[in-house]
Amino acid sequence: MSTLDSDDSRGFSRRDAMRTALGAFGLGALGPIDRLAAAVAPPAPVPTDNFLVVVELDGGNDSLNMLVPQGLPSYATQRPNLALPAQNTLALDSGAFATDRYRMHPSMPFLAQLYRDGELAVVQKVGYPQANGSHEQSKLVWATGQREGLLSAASGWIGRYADLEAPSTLGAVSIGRGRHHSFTGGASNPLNLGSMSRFRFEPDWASQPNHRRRLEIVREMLEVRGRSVTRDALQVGHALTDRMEAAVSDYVSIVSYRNRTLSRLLQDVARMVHASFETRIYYTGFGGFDTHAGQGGVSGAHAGLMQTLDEGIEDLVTDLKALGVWDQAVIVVMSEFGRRCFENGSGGTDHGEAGCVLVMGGNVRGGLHGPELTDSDLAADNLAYGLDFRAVYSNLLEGHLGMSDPSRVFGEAWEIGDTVDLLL
Amino acid sequence: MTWKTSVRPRGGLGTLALCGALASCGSGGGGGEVGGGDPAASFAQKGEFSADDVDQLLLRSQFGLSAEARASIASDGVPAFVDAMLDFPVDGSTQVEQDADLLLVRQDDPPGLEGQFPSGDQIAERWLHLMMHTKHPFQERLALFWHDHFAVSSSVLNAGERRWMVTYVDRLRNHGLGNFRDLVLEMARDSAMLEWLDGTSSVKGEPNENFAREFFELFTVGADNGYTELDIQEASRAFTGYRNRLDAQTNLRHTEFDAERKDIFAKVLFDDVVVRSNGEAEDDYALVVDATFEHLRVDRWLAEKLLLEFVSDAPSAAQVNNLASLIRAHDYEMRPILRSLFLSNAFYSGHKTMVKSPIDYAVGFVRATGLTVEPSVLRRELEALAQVPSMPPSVFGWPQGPQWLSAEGMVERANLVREVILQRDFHTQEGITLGLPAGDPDAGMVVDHYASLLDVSLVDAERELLVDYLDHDVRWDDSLVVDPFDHENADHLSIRVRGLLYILANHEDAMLR
Repeated sequence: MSTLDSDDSRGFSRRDAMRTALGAFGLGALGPIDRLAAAVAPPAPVPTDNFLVVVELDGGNDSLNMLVPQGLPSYATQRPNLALPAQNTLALDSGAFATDRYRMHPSMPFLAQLYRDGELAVVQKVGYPQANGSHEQSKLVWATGQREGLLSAASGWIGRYADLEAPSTLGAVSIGRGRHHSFTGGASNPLNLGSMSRFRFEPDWASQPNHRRRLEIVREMLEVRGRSVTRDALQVGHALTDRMEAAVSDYVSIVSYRNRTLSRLLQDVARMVHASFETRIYYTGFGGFDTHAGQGGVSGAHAGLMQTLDEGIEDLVTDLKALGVWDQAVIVVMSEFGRRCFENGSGGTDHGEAGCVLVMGGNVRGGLHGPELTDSDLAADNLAYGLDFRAVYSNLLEGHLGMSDPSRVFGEAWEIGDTVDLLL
Repeated sequence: MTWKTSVRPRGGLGTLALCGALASCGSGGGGGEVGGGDPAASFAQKGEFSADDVDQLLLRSQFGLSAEARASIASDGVPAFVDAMLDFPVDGSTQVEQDADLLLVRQDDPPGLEGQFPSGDQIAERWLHLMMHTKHPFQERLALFWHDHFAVSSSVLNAGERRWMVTYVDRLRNHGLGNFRDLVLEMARDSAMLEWLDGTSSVKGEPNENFAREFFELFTVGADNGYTELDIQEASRAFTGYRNRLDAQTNLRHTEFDAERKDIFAKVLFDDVVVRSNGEAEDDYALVVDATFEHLRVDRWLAEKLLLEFVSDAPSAAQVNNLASLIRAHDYEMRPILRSLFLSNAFYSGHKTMVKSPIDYAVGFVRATGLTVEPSVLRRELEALAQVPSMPPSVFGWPQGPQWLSAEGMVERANLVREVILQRDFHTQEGITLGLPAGDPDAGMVVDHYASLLDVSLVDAERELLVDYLDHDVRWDDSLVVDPFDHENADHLSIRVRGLLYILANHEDAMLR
């Protein structure tokens, strides 16, 4: 927990004290709220620092079914039933970064267009040394940014980043991912939300006025007390619920988000951006990617996942563009591992190694990045990694979030020496 | 006896210089304490116990405070209470245990196999029922400590295996006061553990290192404390010989010893300790356990874990050293070790310095107030707080101490209490009036009574706020109307006393133990 100013809040009004606490926690001033204006005016550009949105595809995304390799015969021989015919996929062969080396899954029209517009980077063969095929272990590698040593006890990379660069509860926020390991270990204790609307003090239905009075007294009592780590945590909880509530009610958008998992989660990101939260890293994602059996082709299980991803990204990107913050945003789509090059006997694919990472934003250098995919890569059982994922994150921390020395977050990976240049 | 010192020092308590401990090595628990007479590091018996000491004992060894326990200590003294709490029935025969077992039954269980196919949620709810209702809270408290130490989650078990988790929990509940060495061995052979850490897929020629690694790192000595990667490989060869078998008649699975899968060659541990196999008659697990206890500093690791659970969120080197001496003096017998711990100067050296875990907070609130809930309600709320018993997030168990003090955790604790006070129908039989102070209590008496039960120390301004709260009605427009508290008014009980409990449970004191 970060430290409060030494102000003694006794003698302040409740609102003053709460504001003091908010400011001291780096939450910023509440600011004037003009609901009426917000309700009728179109969204105006929102002042915000650069921020990162990480979307985790939980379960191991089959990235060979997302970005379909072209002109590599092993793709079809390894996947006699799963291989997507070229005519059923979406072309990427126009725009500044036109390529005929990949086509995109037919369920992803928005991302295909974003590629053609030059705003989507496809980072190929991303992974880490000595791939681990366990979901749990591989997620730990990605979450800690470490390959060596005791991973469960290691701190998360976002926790380390927050401590150094954004040491407030809102410095980084995870949404809908439980208590995420990438957030652990630091002193700044960044926020893990179920969702914004659920982050509140639930009412007592038998008497809501009385319950409001209870909460008022709880807050008054917190002010009576001197500071302590425990009291501070309680007070931040109260301050944040207020801010979340205001952010939800003040939010206006031209986008009707789809009622699907990822769209709902990403709308919370837009709400917080709209409210000018100081959050530098948003972390969310959704599951279902462990497609061992019946993963389908043009339609089916994996196609549905690709559609959810494409629609969620479309909703958020459209919103961020309307809010005038697309240049401040970078969205990263990752998964704990790719899947095998070959299909298994159940119409699915088993745990593999490397995969593609998608990076998009107004200042992203689109096109293909990372080492080229070859036919011999696909002829192997596993797609070997060619670029360390920590190089991707480091590039974004340094180039987009302005961190002067990302080796302070990804120390171990610095020795590996991979680099990538994803930003304009 | 040779102590193996750390080969690759790293941060943390595990790398504290051993010389401090060596000064008292083999000298027994009573004497040879280091720390220069610092009471916080002394495990000698404390002479007198204050009222705060009594509450400290209850908060850290039971779930929440109770008037009965306080009265019992007032009349018989702390040592008698500690002796009694360390003496609980371990044959599953109590009524509470039998009621709890019914929670494992499913409607579609085959006849004769009732309760053999529980879901993970049912297993968690059975344990929560035990925690809420047991007459022996320390039994559950201790089991929870061991569960965090030997962390296994039911999440990896399938329908035919999940009852293993019940067995695992009961082993921790019933054998937690025996010898730690025996408990380590029992856990190593436990079916849920064998499945969780791949013991059943560790076979000769292809040993799986998962269990061996955690055996050293988490269960016995702590990371980098005198063992190497080579020891993990050697030990994993010794931890072979089990298989997971399906009974096609019942669809139940069981683990069994299978000599075919066992590596019967000798292993070398800790550079020069040769472990000869028992051959094909039985497994070699005990040989590795014994060698580890003989050659590595298990005493220090156990001391550190006990201190983190019962004494301090940040134990000192002197505390670890002295408790380790005590552990050796008692040869890992948990009952006398815990007895000494709960009567020691060290245990009472700081009051309310530790953060309650969500389970401790939740069950403590329920037990202190008498506002019981369906275990399923509590389980759901604890899910939001990321601590469901029998479902730890990983083999490393749960976060500890101050790590629980997240902003979202504080909000979810309030919502948990709100869920409990909301269960009005459920409480009609065992109404909250049972908890009110006797006689004709006014608002001040009610405030003092519940503040004391929830261990909240109110300053005058806080007490005034609460008395004021009880003495007012809140109208639908949020206006306040003076309406003195009346303990016979059903609305006052249903709304205001519950509200008082909610406010008190949101006090920082209620988060601490």
